[in-house]
Amino acid sequence: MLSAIGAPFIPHWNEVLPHSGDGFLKPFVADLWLIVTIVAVLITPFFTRKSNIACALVALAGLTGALLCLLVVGAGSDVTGTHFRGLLVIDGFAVFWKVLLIVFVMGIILMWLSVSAWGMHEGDGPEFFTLLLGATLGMSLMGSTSNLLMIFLSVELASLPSYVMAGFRKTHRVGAEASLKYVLFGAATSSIMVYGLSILYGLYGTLDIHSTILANGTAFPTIIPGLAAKMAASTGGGALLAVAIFGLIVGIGFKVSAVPFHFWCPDVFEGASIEVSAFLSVASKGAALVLLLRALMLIADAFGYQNAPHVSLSSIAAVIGIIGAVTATVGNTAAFIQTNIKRLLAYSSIAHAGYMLCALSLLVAHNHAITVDNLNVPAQAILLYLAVYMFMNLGAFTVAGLVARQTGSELVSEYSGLGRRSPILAACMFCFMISLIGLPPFAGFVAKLNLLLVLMSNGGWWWGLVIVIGVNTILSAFYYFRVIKAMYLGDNEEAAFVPNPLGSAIALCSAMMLVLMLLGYGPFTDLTKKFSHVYGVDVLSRPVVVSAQP
Amino acid sequence: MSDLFAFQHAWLIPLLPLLGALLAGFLGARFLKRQSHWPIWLGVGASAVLSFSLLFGMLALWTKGRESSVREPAGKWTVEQANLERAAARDRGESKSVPLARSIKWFDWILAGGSDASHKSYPDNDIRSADGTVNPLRPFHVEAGAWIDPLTAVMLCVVCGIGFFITVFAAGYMKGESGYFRFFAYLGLFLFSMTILVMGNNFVMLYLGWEGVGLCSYLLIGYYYEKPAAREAAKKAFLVNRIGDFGFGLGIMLCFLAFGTVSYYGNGPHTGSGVLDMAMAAQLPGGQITPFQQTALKWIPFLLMIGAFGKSAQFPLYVWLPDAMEGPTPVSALIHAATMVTAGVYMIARCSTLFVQNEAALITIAFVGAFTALFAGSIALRQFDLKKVFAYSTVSQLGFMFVAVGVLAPVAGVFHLITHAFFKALLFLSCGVIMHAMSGELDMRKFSGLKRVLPKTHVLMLIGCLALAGIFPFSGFFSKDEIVGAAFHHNTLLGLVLLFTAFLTAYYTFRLYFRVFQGPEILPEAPAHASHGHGGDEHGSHNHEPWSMMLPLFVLAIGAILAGALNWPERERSLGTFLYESPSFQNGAVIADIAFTRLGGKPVDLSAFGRREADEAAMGHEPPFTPIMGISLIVALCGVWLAYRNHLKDRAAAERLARKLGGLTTLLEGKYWIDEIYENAIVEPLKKLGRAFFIIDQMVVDGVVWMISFIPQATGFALKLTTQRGYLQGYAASMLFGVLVILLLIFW
Repeated sequence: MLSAIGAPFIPHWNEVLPHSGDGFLKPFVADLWLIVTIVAVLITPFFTRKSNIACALVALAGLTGALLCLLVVGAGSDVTGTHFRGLLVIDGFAVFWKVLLIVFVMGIILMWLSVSAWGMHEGDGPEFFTLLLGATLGMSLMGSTSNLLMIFLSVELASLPSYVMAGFRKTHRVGAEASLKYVLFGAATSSIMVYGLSILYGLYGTLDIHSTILANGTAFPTIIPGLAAKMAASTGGGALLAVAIFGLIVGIGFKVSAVPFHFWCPDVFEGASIEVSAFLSVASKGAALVLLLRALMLIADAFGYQNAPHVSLSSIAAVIGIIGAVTATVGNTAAFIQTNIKRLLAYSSIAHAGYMLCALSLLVAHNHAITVDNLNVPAQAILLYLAVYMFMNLGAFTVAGLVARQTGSELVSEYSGLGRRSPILAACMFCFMISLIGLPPFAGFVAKLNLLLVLMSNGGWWWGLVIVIGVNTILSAFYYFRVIKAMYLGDNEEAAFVPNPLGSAIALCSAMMLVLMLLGYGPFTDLTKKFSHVYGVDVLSRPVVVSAQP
Repeated sequence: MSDLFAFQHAWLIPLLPLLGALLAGFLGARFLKRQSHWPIWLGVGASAVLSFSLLFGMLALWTKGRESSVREPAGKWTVEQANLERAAARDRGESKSVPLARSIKWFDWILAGGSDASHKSYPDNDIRSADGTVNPLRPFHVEAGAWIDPLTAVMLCVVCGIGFFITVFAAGYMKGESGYFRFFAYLGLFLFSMTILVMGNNFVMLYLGWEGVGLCSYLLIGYYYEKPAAREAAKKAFLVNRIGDFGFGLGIMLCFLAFGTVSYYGNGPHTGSGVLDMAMAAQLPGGQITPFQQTALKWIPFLLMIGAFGKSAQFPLYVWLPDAMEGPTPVSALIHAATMVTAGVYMIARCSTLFVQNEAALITIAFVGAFTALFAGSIALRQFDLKKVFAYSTVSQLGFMFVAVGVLAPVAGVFHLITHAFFKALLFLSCGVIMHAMSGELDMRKFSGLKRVLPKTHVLMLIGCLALAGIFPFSGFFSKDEIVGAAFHHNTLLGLVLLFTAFLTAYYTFRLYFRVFQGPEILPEAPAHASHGHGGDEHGSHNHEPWSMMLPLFVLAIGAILAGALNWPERERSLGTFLYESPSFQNGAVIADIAFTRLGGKPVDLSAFGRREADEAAMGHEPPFTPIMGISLIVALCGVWLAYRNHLKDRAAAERLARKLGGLTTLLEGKYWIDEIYENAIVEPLKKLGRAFFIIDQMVVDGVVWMISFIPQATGFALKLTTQRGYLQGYAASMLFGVLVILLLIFW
């Protein structure tokens, strides 16, 4: 039906649709569900007086629907392709990220129910969930686009609600201040990014990074070369191109909270309410990483993973690798001295983002000959790491929230004696801390091991990153173990307490997932391998592109 | 074969007890309470049914295969030859023989290391490339999967079958104990680990099961954790087993280093893709073997052996087993007599390929086994606690099994494992009934003449004792005789030691029987101590032999009587020939044959591996009864007679004898002071060393750690004071600086 409506207005409309008929919207029904849910959340207050809880339930229901749609798409045999004239891309990688994101946001909402629902002003619920779901929509789109315009739009769609959520506790001075810092930083980096993207458009005259294949009914489809292909074909650009890619890295670096764009992170995490911090720690960083991975991978692929005279892929890799290493180190050393659990987790999340950036540095240059197998290795490493990291952080923030609710303080010293006061929470926190260090028997070990193996197998100066990550792991053990030490060795005479059952359930489920993912090491790795294919990355099978001059 | 339900769903066998354990563990305290045994009963029962259907399915296929198949040619053959013949037969469209062994993959458990490219060019478990070199970038690949062959099927039936009857017994025995659900959850977990141990298709699965049963053993020995003795015993068992497991772990690692895989047989027997197959190929004449593999093959058996000595309580690591009797009696029966402690024998039988060519290892196993048998058997002579007697007896019988695998008669070892599982479980459970009736009293000096108090138990115990003593026609007679015969074939000294131990066995077994069940009826006065949890008030009225406890005993008794028929020497289709269908036994036989003709040693009796010569005529000459059988029967009867004289006819005679042999008696009653020797020679020095290390830790290590932690701490403070001060201007300046650095990096 939609194709019938669009056909008269948009040239090439029918050609660019890879799937004929009305089925082409199917991969994006999940995103449509999110939009419908936002509307539903907004009108919920008309029907009930207790709108906070009601909105949460509506949002949960909507997310469940979206998740089901995604699972159907993911289970389908071939969903790979571009849609909406190349604005959106769907592939295994995007589907996996969206599933992770939606499961995580559902976890966040449950966390809100167990930790913060009682403290929120009645009537703020609709706004809060609109913002949350809006940001989620943005992040979901960030995972499935390689169009410059969509990149900017989705990043802003994700950022703007995040700024508001950071300062949502209006009476909270620290939160308001953090929110302001967040906005200012976001504005600055966004402007650098949009500057870079506009240079790219100016150089090559197209917004699509990937090439578009027009099915013209013959055996030789017309190929409209994308930005990456043109970049590889032309020889000009030089410094201007470097500035453009730099702009992209800055914009994404801000979302990832890579050093030196990380300053907002601890302040915001401390100032925002705990579920917002948890949300930003995984969703925002994950979306940015996924976006950067897709863009860089397409560019590197167009160059055949070789350095060209005008673009040195290895220096891009070096910049990302160095940023990753510095980010991990700064995150861990700064976390060392934190006394506030939220700030500690903030720096910990900076460090983990650094680890993932290290893996990202792999995409743009391979030491090995490119084969079908090692092509998607970085994508796989990041997906696996994100999946594990999501459960670790969801659980750790939930426990932090429950303890803060009980004790009224966010200091690490409040954890002393937790092993006695609430054995279940303490056991879960133990699991998360050990997993965050990356030690067995929890899945954090699998994620880190996988990452290190991928880096090692590439050899060369990636060994430097392996060493940096190794040293950082040792450093991080100190402060994670501080929490464990407080829980089990610290003295505290306060009475035992029974935490909120829903919160305990989230923590327990996350902990069990971490154990399960380790036990299912093989199947789990296979799953991420299966879903690590990025659309348009097909250097081995790509037909020769006859480049049309811009 | 693959269409059988039990083959396709073999994964249910470990899973069901685990599910039962989880249900009992998580729901037991709140909901199930006194009904906590149900999940375990159902889970283990279903596993037992599956195990038996696996066994019977396999037997049916085997029979069919034997009837339809052409006999394999007599004489020397190699695996290559056999493979060629099989392939030719397959080409001709004949199903010559149905392979009863296969690997069932559940999922890839660990696939780490190596690069993706190396996974591709070395598919699955095959770590060799086409040109035969070992892949340098080999991944560490562990499957979660089962290796199903006759040995596995037999072991599964023993574990799940006996396990089921013991759990049934336990429900009656443990009634009213606190932590009832905990007991059953551990029991389920134990059966899960044990089935994994015998089913796994690689060394890592074996190790997983090995450690799992160790953990469960620890938990169950310490079940009465309020009792200090139980706590100490649990700790001891755990620590002593660590010594063995350390060696075992090293052995597995060496296997991986030498052969690049941990799988037993990879994709299937004779595909050259597993440790045991590659070890075999390397040992055949003309086989390619690297110097490192040669060295590894020398050491691997010794390392694995240490693990087996620990788990199967052989000298010098046997000390934990007698103390382990602090656990509840069903646990002693299941874990410390019937199943877990035989894991070492199973492992050596499974890996016979690695052992048979290593003469030093074989001699070590055989002599350690014989020595342990004699040593533990002699200690059992002067024990008064019923369970202690049987504990030392178990150590002694395990020694017999080790002799069997050491003298290249693994079939006899596995056969004795099965019969022993039946009669020792029967004896321990009977002890449990006595303990129940005597309110926890187990000292045989405190009671006597119980045959009228516990009539059923009396009959059952007598059956068990006859089997243990090796009296014809009970099962123990046949299996023990096979081992003694094999030992004589190999080495006369070994045979004599075993024969003497058999005499001791008959003596201490019937000493116990005559003292406890015959003679004047003496009952201990008031319930000695209520530590066992059974209230003293109901003591007088309640039935000492409830059916829930008796029924499992009857089943076990039938097994103890009849299991000897499994390997009846006359029959062509016996346990031995069935086990020979397992590649572990086939490979062992082939290598033993070659090794011992090449080394100039004695020709190996291949029927000890279950091989039957194809020539019917040659087989007919083998007499069903050998002179050794007669001798060992006479020796056992002598033991019984001596026990009768000293412990029934004239009870004072025993004490007179003991006084006459004063020194020996003290030595035996002190159990050779092995525990004290260990305490003073090993534990105390280690404790001193520990204290020294503690001081070093305090002074040196802590200092270094403090220094290491100082650097990031200082950096952290520096960061906090310089950049992260909360001022937006500062942030902006830092960011600008960072941006400049990045730009510099890009353009540099």
